[in-house]
Amino acid sequence: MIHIENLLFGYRKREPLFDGLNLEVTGGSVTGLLGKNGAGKTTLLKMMAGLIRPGKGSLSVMGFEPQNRPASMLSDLFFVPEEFYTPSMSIKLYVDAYSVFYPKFDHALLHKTLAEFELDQQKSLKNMSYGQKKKFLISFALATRCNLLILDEPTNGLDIPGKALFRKIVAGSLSEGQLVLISTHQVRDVENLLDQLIILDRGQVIFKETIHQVSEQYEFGLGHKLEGTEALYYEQAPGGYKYIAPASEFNESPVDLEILFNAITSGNLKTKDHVNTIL
Amino acid sequence: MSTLSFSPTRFYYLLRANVLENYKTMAMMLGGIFLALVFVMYLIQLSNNMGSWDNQHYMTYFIISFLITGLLYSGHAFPAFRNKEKAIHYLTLPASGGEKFAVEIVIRLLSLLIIYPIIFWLAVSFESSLVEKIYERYEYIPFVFQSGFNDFFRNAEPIQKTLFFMGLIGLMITAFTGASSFKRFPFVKSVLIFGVLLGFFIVIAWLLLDVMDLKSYRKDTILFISSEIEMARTVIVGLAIAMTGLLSAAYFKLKEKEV
Repeated sequence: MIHIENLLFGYRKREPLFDGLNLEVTGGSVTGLLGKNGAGKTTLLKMMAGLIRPGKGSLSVMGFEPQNRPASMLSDLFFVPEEFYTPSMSIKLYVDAYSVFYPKFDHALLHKTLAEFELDQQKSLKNMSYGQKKKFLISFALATRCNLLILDEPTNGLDIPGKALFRKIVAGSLSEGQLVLISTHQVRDVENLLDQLIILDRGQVIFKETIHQVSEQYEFGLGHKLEGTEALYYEQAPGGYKYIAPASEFNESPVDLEILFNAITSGNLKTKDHVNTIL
Repeated sequence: MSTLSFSPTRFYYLLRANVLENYKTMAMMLGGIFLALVFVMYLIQLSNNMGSWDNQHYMTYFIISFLITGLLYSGHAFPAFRNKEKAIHYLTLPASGGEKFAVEIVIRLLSLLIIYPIIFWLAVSFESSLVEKIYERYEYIPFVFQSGFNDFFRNAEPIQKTLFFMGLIGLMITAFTGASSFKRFPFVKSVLIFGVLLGFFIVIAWLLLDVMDLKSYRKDTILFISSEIEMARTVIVGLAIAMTGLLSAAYFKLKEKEV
């Protein structure tokens, strides 16, 4: 669905943001795009949505060159930016005006998600809080049934129940072959939702694996002490140590995205051949 | 993949979405124009001792007010470009660049040509009939566009009329293109750039004709153009080329816009 080859890009008078970036993402997953501040996550998402022209190299989205913004690509792609615009009109009128652009628009799904987020369709978007507007926009994005959904920091501004609902609604609304690309710093908000993880650092993709592959390789734990643990990476945490160890045959643990991200971006995640058994 | 695709259905959806989103603003704007026309007309009449207006007065008022309103309105085309979040919403809407451009042309240029004369006629008719009731000496002469037009251009050649209207539309297209290019204060910047360009051409013409004295080279021609009619034709061709160029530039700006 997304094919990037040898992408070069930089803002003026600055070092290149992407220097020969390569990435291939297929459909049918919820993929997390992680990276430190300034790693280029939002820029990459905007490029995929056709809002920024790539420099050199090639970028194709669903077979289209996104920078040309062809209508047939845009009708199968929905981008929810971190800071967004909603016109001063009711939800009902917004849906009436804009749903027609999306041939697969699912009104039943929209009604369901709006009800779950407790949003009144008659209410004007102008009188809603940032979080409510975001809930609406996420609901609308899911209802478009677009093949590619790009969500930039989707949980920013959502309340605590809203974050849990977001995970539930996204997981329950996906169509076959659909790709949901989520860029976020709030990794806890998307844990148990992601199928795949991509980490960007210094203009390169430094990690791309499915959550299944990660859990097959690693075990994530929290202990008071590290004695006897074969830690590939560890860091201090309230109550002891968080660690990553080689996966054991009988003990499958949920993936801790935060420690995995820290381990990978710090370059300190050891391979299984170089395990430190802490005595 | 071609980006020159044009779907009448998507064009209609885009136009409809625009109206649904902005109908309140549009209604307020039309009401504002109506009231402003009435108020300014009354002030002008007041300063002229409440003398009655005939078709020529109306027509002069129409042309001046149309120019001002048209420049201000078309000079604020592409409103989504003034704000980053709005621009993202607008540019990711599933419609081609051609469809978005066509909608902007319809809303910012064509609708003005159709709606403004109606609003103007309603406003001046309302004002005149109202003033007639208040001031006994005021005589209400209904405004008829056709007669006003004929009176205004009584001594003008057809080519001069064409030139006049092309100039009027050309100014609005200039403001429209400026709005596609500048994020902040598009109208002011467009006026400034237009002024600088106009000044540049006047200086060049002055240098060529007066300083270098090219006009004495052949007494019967001005830069190889031998009559006023020919000059007018040349200016019309020049204006047509300039308007096409300006509209192409506005389309290019929309197509290449990055956020």
